[in-house]
Amino acid sequence: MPTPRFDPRAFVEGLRADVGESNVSTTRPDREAYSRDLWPRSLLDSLSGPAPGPMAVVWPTDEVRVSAVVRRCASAGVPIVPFGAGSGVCGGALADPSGIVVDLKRLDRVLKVDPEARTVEVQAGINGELFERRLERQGFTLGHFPSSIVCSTVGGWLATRSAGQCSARYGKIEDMVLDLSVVTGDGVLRRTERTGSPGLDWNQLFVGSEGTLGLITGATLALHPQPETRCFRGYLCRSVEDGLDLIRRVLQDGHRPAVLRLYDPLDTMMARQKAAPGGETSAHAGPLKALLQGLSSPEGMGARALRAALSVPQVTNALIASLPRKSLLVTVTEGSAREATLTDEAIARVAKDLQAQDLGEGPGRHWLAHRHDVSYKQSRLYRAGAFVDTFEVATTWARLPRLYEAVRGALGLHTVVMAHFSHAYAAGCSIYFTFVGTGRDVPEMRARYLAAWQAALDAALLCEATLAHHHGVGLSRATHLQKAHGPAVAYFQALKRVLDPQGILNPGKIYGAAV
Amino acid sequence: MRLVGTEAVALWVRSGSPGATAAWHPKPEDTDGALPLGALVDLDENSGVAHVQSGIALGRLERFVRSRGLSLGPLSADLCRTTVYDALAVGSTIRPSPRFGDLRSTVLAVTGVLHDGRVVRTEVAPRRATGSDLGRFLLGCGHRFGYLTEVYLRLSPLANHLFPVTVTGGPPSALLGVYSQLEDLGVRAATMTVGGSRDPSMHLTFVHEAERDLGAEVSRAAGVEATVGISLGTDRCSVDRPIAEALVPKPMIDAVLSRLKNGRVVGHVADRWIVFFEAAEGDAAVREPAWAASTEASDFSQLEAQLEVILGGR
Ligand SMILES: Cc1cc2nc3c(=O)[nH]c(=O)nc-3n(C[C@H](O)[C@H](O)[C@H](O)COP(=O)(O)OP(=O)(O)OC[C@H]3O[C@@H](n4cnc5c(N)ncnc54)[C@H](O)[C@@H]3O)c2cc1C
Repeated sequence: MPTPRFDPRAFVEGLRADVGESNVSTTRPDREAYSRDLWPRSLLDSLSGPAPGPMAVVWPTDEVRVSAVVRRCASAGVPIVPFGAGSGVCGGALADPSGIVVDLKRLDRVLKVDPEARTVEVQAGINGELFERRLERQGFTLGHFPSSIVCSTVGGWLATRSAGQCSARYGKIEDMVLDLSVVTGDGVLRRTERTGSPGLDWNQLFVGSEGTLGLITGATLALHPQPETRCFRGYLCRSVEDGLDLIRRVLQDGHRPAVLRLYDPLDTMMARQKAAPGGETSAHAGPLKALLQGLSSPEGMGARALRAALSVPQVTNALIASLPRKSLLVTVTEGSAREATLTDEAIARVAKDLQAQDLGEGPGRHWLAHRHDVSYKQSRLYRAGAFVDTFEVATTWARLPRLYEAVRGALGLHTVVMAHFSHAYAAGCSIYFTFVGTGRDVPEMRARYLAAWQAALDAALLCEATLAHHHGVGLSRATHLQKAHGPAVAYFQALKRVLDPQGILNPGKIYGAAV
Repeated sequence: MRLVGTEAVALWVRSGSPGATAAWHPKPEDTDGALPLGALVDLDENSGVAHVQSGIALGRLERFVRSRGLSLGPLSADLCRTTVYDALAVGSTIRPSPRFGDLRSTVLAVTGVLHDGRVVRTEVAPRRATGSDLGRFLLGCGHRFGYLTEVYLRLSPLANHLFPVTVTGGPPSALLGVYSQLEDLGVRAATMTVGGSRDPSMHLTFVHEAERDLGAEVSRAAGVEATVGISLGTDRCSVDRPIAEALVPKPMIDAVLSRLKNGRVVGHVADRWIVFFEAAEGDAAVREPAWAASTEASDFSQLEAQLEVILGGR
């Protein structure tokens, strides 16, 4: 029997019947707004014109309506891209022109805070900042503070394995999940067993799946009491290696500071210059001064100076390599007064042992006050004719130095690179590279950008590191992830066949066209 | 048959394994002390990570890593002969440690052989970072989807002493209230057990002496008795009898423990206490109470069965 022809109009009418007239849009502005997330590559692409948006944008208001939409898409074979707040930086929410975007932001209720049990049942579309404020008013915290907290959702966090700035104490989002409500590709709403139950751990299968196995509609998450006290501090370590040693020793001793954030020499210079403009670091002359000025105010003269420094990345990186090796470590400890103080003292003991200079409370307090500043300068850099992106990888402590050198070297062939270490665990640590580049025109910028990514991913793959730490995979790492995971992709494919028989959920994301 | 590595298992599977009907899994052998798939492949002391084959016995591994100042965390002596495979793939009950986690939480990466002979390896990472945690999904599956052959385990620095305190004089919920208060203060016990009607007391051990003293202080302030000790507390979670486990909502704990003669609380996952009990006894006591039906989780067994078919397990 011939398959009936797909009628987009009738399909959209069906969606309207499922979720209500005002919860579906096919207007051009809406479709454009939902055409992409904050993947810098699509930002670069958008310089040459808008991306094709989805066929329609849908805002279901409850789980039943999410199910209805998924069922309709499954029977018509229409792809779905789930959408939180679109703050993803890997193209995970990039629209499929033949499909629809399902924005979950209208599932935004805190269903139940259980003060005894210290758990919260929450819908997936709630904005991160609003959620945390609600918890704060009741004396609790989730302990999850990604830099993007004001522009991301709980569902997006879960779908990407997000990490907050206090991950050393509270863990990544996957450590906070107790159970999940998920609409799988067959349109069935399922609720997982509690974490820790015997048998298979379905929670950890949906977490990180970036919308490819199901639409997360809600979760039960573990809560913590609001910290009673915080202690802030900064140390100037003799080198990055010393700083990493300090972090490792503190964590392996069983302490749980909220923040341990180590900057490499260039990042240290920038952080210190911001904290004390005109201080010793601004005495640096030549391309480095231009780079620092350009990065902090990429307009007019600043933009020109920045482009000049970025056009010769290898020279600029060589100058960076000649900077004093000192590295700034920012620490914040929190919890009960007893724990915060004991942890602060424990860090101080290791710091003394490693001859790190105690800079007092200033750097910690300054970091807290300005922790979201850098991230939002991105578009100013693009306007200045530069591009900027980040690459976060992780590995065990013993493999970390090699990974740091390899990725840094690879990115440094094409861009100017700096790094910090902000998520650490007893067994290892992640490295967060920021790389900035330029080109004479958009095609050249694009070529450099792609070359930098290719080189960095190859290097990380060679070092057997993870190809991300908390940004997810999306499209940015999909091809390399396929290589990294090898036959495990077949395992994933089998799961996908079971959970999404029609293959409609976020096709091509995570493992590329293979899945 | 003695298989000595992941590749050998893969070959064996490819050349016609008995599939899911096989009762095969790595087992320690008594005869000559040699274990199939029983090697410690590598020990990264700096990161505190042991790379082992899944047939290694926990006791043997613990003995070795202890000689390097590291530990899997507190293990009861009874567990020494349990293999990593038993503990992780099959899911033998292992007592969790509030401070060091349970064995599952120490797994950083796994290697497994699927029923079609494909070798699945996950990245060695301090935390899962990319996509679904496929390695985690091989844990607890027995050999329904394949065989777990190698594991990377996170180790902790060896604690030279464990400082015990025994708390008595209240119902289990009151004793557990003391335990929760300690957690709020940032104190995590190395081990904890709260007994049921046979042993209505809480045994805690700590890595630091000051933590033990604080444990006693908080207990007394809460109006229960605390006796500090200088020797190690005894571990009554014997595996000679088949032990089962359940997650019990916190408010139900007194009711549940009163029905379990040998039940004991050994830790918690957020709002649920982890209770160990004798399987035979527990069958009656644990299934019946209202809380057992309180979970709203969906039945995933059909999906699991489909997956098993796709992966060639049956
Ligand atoms: C300035 C800035 C700073 C950032 N800082 C951090 C940081 O500190 N830590 C960090 O972890 N990340 C950070 N990110 C990345 C980003 O914020 C996270 O990936 C975040 O988790 C995405 O959430 P979102 O709601 O915006 O999801 P989206 O971007 O909308 O979606 C991300 C992916 O998840 C899927 N998805 C979204 N919601 C659901 C759902 N309910 N069910 C199933 N799939 C879904 C999408 O299809 C997509 O694949 C930052 C981003 C920016 C722009």
